[in-house]
Amino acid sequence: MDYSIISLSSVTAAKRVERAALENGILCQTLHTPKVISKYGCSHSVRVKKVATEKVLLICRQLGIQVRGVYEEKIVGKGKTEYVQIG
Amino acid sequence: MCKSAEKLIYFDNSATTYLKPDNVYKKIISVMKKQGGNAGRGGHRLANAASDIIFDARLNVCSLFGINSPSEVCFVSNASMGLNFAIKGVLKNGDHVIISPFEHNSVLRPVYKLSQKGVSYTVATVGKDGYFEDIERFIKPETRVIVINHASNVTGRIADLKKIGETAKKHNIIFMVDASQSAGHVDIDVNELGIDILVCSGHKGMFGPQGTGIMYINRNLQLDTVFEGGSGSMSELLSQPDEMPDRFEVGTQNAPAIGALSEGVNFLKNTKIQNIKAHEEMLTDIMIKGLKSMNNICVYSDNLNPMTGVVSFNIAGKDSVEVANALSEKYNIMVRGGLHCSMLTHKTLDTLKSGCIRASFCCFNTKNEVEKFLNIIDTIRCFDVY
Repeated sequence: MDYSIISLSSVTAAKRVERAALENGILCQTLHTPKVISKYGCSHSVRVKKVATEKVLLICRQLGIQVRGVYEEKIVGKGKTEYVQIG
Repeated sequence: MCKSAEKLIYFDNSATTYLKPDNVYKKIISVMKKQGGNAGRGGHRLANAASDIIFDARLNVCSLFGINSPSEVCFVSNASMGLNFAIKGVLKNGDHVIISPFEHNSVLRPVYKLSQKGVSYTVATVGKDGYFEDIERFIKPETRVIVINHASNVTGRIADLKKIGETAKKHNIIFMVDASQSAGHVDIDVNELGIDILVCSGHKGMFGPQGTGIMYINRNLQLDTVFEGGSGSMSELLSQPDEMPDRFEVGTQNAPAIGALSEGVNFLKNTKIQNIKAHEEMLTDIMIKGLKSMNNICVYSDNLNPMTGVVSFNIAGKDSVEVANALSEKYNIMVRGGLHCSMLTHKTLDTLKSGCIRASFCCFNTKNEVEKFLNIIDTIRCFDVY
């Protein structure tokens, strides 16, 4: 299964998106943004199935939450993940 | 140690509510044991669980006060901290602020401090009806904020927020409300009342634990910071993040206490604030009538106007602190005497020298407790015993 990481800033922003996504039937999980894609230091993101990315980005816009980056999560080997910026 | 075997009567709910709903106690323990990570710091399961506790509390506070977004809710350690953040975050050199004559020192002292650095302030005067006069006449071109104590911690008097909010909007002035004594006792809707910034304690009428407070800041306002430090976000930046609530939630948040505060909010929603208000009004009515029926007692609270369950009075010739001490030691009754961290109110009431005895109710107090209290006050008054 392919996933996207939508990078946000605060944990509150991530929780707002997570809850709104879940209310819309979209599986969504708050996570501490992996360091390699976290701009300006620590932040929180939401992880969603790639097919739901646009819907969750729409939720972000509706909530007025700034998106810091959108990444495709790629498992490239045992315990190794790459993040490809897609937005 | 109390010398009395009498059942404790707690009438100091304006200072803090002593009895809390059971779920408040339970939540502190359960969060510490099961969700005891550091909210917003890291992403492991327990950190995430603590973040959920705090986020749920934000949503709960939003629904209680009609707040649009959980990002507009900041948790602080107490109302004084929130008021310092808000007052010092908004006012700049050259600004003017209007405050009411019933402000707690948590407003007066930060405002006074700023007045030494180029901010000017006006204390609205009181009209014949005991209410402060039309706020509009105190507005100057440089007036940036009106700060109003929603309910006095000394008299229980409730301010007409709707009217003041409309005046503030008309003049494009920020409307800040200290709801420490009204939150949980009176319905508050920030949008309906035109409130831009609302600050309240979490441990009084909200039934949270001590060390909790709430600060709502309308998303259109950008306040300067008073404290800076860890926020769990934007860690590479030297300056505090702009994003709310991280901008003001500096350092580790007290997730067990905030979770418990949220249980206090649940209690208020389930019990319904209008029912709480009606019960406290009934107790207040009995207390004021009873005290006014006695000679040599001066009552400063007046239930002819809207008020919370706070009744302040003095017994002629008696020191208010000595009476309060005696009520505790001899009768196992907890009230507060002296000044109530509210110099302005005592100046307004002309009780700066004597202070006053304050009995303040919550929904767990009973009519029997009030009647017993009145009998004891009558005994002290008549027989000079304490």
